[in-house]
Amino acid sequence: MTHDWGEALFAEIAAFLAEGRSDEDRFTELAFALARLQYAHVPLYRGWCDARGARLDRLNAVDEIPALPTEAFKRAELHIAPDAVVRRFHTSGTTGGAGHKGVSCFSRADLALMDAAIDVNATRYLFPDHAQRRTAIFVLAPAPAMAPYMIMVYGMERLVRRYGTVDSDFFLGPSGLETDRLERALDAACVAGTPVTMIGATLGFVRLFDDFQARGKRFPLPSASRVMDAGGFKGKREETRREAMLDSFRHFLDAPPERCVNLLGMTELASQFYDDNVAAHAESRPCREGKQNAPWTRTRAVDPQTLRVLPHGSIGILRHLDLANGGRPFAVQTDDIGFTTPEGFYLLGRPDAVEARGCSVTVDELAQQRR
Amino acid sequence: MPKSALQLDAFYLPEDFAPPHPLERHETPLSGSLSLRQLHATPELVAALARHVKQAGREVLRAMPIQKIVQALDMAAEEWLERRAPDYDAVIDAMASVTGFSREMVCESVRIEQHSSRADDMWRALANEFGDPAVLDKFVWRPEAKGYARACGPDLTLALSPGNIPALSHLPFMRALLVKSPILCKPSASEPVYAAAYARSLARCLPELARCMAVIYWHGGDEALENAAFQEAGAVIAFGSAETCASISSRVPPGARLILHGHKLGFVVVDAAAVHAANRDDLAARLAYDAAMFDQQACLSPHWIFVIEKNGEEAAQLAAALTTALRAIETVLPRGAATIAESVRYCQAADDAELAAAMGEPTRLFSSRDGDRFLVLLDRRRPLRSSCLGRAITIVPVSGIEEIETLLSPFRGHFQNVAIEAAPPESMDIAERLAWLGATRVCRPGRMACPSMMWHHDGLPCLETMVRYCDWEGQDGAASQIS
Repeated sequence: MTHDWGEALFAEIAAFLAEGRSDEDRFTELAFALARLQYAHVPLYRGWCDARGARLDRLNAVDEIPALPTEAFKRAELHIAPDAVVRRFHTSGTTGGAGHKGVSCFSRADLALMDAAIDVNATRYLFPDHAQRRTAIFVLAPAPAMAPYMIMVYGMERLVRRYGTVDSDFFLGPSGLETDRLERALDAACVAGTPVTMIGATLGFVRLFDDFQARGKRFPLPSASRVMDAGGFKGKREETRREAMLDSFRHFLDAPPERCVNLLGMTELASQFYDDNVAAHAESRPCREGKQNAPWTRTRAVDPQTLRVLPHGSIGILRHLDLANGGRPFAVQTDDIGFTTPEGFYLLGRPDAVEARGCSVTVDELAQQRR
Repeated sequence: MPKSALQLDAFYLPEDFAPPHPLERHETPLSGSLSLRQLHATPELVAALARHVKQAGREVLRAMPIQKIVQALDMAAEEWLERRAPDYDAVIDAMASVTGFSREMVCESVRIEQHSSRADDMWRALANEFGDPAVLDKFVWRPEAKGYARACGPDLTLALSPGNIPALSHLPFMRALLVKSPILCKPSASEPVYAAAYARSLARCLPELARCMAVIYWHGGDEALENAAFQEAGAVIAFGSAETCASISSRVPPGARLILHGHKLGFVVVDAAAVHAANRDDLAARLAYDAAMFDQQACLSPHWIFVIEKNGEEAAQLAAALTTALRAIETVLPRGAATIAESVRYCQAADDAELAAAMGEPTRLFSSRDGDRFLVLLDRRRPLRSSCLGRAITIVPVSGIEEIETLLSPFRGHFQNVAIEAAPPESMDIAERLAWLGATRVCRPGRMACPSMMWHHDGLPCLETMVRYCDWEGQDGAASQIS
């Protein structure tokens, strides 16, 4: 960091992440400081706050911090120190159609914060037994050299290095999923009794299981094996499809639900949100509902029209605060529909899936017709 | 469900109809104790209904004087305008519940639809399209043709009714009956209520019509059911998206008249000279009504207000006045409940504007995000942005009508309704250009939601398009022998 006080704040945030302990006052204090830092150094965030009449010098509560819409990441490169940016990840562009992609910028300090966030979360929610064993991690994603702009691949590579054995590998090649190679690896693990962790995008697993189904393949993975799927179904009928997905994990991989965890990640954020089921099983306690906020993140549902925070159980759009987003705007307003509970949050779907009413044609419809 | 629950039929069967199989009814609970009863449609039932009303049309409508039909339609309109229809409150409540519009909006919608459906409107529309409406009763002498002509309506009109605009489903009834055609109506899923209620109203006013109408719902696009109806229809009137229209036109048998009304978009053109202080608030109030009516979901609704600027300030002045006017209208015609997805689209539109403004782009959001249930956006960006609808209006400053033509050229083929606020000779020039651009109706702001029956809906003479003329040549003007 080029700014002394920014560097000090990053160090405090890093320490807070490493502690992994909930502390509401500490979170608030760091969030206020980070909001002011980003206000001072990210012109678009400053313009956004000013337009809304927000006074960052007079904050009383975390929820007063203006959240920048994810759309903003598509309009400009957002970073407190543009010269320090060393990595750029691209958003998938699911909302504005092809070509309408966003960029998420990382400095070295940001990458360090993201690494810490990945480690603390994965240790708790995916590898609670990491002290006893590493597993072979089979990744349904391209190798990092092939996909330098995919933040999910960055995170998965981190998991491979920290928690994987030398047998770990990436199985998405230039011409798609390398099923033969993956099947040989799965067979070998089954024969040797080596625990396997399969990780990948949810839709990648769907394709894999379609293929297994067509060819009558099943791999009863050794115990202590597990699955982590990321991203869900792009917001369409999430909950019902989750049930089917868990059935498939059990059917094709012999992985029971307490060893299958779903993760929600966003390119705009350094932190990820895991389900609690694997952690709860390992700690022999009841599973907490919904996606889990690490001590350095908060998720709210807000009213899409007023942008006011909604009580638990009320459906709105999700807003995340992620202190690991040191250099990028850390208060991010998504247009994902969902709700919170006292224990976590749920993502229900994307608004794109819903059609407009009435007989007035929309310009978007016309654009689709011409496509 | 309590015994006192009120059941409203969303179907209408001719009183003398004998169904080909036992009828299966099902109930959908709506708000309060109200529920909607529907019939389970089968291809046999739909075909039998079609044939039944067709036969009744031959027996009843052919010989019925047009004057009697106009009178019945006028009396039905009056029932709704004076809120005397016995099921008025239940029908309004049901429509509000199904469409999501506020009750006030539903009442206003019914008023607008029926207000323009009076006897005088019908006579003028008939005269506008047929010259002498008697051509619908008998052969009449046409001096220019040096012969007689007779107009015959289709032996059955099938109406696939429009989306969720309350009470608009009465329109195909009027078109069919005014050309003496019996009607089978399939209401839309998003407003399944009014068609049956209106048919009951007509049957009250003129009991002979009771045999000539049927209303039954099925899921739009169900080919087995629709094809059963298409086989019997002499004319098909349908409303829907481009996809729906394409599907229908590929399935209607040749020989049947096909009248399709696709989804459309409207806009307003305001000349700077009209934004002067004495006119501004009145203009804003009229524009607010146009934007608020049907919560901007109708094909008639404006998406953009183009302001031809002179001094660079008129658009902002109008935006401020429109914001005030939309706040005022919210108390009289409140916006309906938005779905979560609609609210998110709203949020995205407001985000888009505020982000652009924060980046120094020439946009400004006039409405408040924390309180207003509408959006007023002044946007100088190019190209034109989409409106998320639901009372989201964009004011677009332009240099002249030429720029409007350029901005709108990507949307050619989808225009319909345009309002112009300008004085001659500018107004003439603007209207001339918009006519060639594809507009089919020009009116003043404040009238966009209320077309008259005289309007050539989507550019067509809607009644005349329904009929088949029979010309009788070789008579030498011995008119007295016939008339």
